[in-house]
Amino acid sequence: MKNKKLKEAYDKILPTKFEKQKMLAQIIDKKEKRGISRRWIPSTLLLTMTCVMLLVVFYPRSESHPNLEGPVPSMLRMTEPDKIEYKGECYEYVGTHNGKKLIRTKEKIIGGSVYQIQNQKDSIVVQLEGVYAHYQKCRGE
Amino acid sequence: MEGSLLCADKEITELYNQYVDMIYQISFMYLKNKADAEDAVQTTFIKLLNYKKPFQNDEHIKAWLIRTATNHCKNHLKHWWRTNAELDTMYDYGKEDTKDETLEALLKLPGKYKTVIYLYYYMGYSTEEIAQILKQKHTTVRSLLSRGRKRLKDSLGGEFL
Repeated sequence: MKNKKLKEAYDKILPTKFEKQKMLAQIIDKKEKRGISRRWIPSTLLLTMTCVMLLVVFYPRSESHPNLEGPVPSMLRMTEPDKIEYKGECYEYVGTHNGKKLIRTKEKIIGGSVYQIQNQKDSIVVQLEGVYAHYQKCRGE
Repeated sequence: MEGSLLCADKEITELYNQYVDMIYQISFMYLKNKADAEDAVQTTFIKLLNYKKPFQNDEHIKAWLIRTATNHCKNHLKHWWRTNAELDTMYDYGKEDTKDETLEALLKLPGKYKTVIYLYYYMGYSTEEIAQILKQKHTTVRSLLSRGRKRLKDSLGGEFL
């Protein structure tokens, strides 16, 4: 000890025997509870279940359409051999796309796209598997 | 100690009995009240229990405990409610008759001097050993010790140290 007065001062802040025992008991108690805190288990479980439910509810589904060779969204479906229904409206097949300027719509179908023809509001072009098919709104509708 | 997976209560108790006074004193020097010092002691030993790397020897454990306790206290003092409260006058180290001016002067020292002075004057370490323990430069420790001593002299009287 290099200074007696300092030693005496420091000795005054020693813990008592009772305080030492109390701290040790709490340390051992905490040691036994260490690992994943129990309060985390319910919240983690709840969070996992919520994520699974959201995944199940919002997972993008598709339905198959046999006449269009593969799954397409429900907004586009074939009603007759030469007619389709697009967004609830009837379109009939005109022929293959003949080089007119196409505008891609925001609707995507699996394995292809839907286009509109510039300046022709009543026509759509459905591209599927590399084939462009020109459809026009059904007459009389 | 091989690795630090302290599982046996006996092992913990031995280490605790060996170092509790030192950790408590260091914590009290920073936090200036019993309750916080006790919390700091518990936190330090819990951190020791969770520490996975092996210690080379007892001195290594001791140095680790000193650094961990000091860092915990510094972090605790940085806490927002702590910085907004005026706690410097809240010395609570037991009964009224145990208060003395030397301890008051030690408690009033800025944090950076406290550990160095404690390790040098109370634990009897040399400045080189303190530098190793605190992972600081030897010259830094010497200047901290010198300035801390000067502050103590100013508050307690020239011939004190």
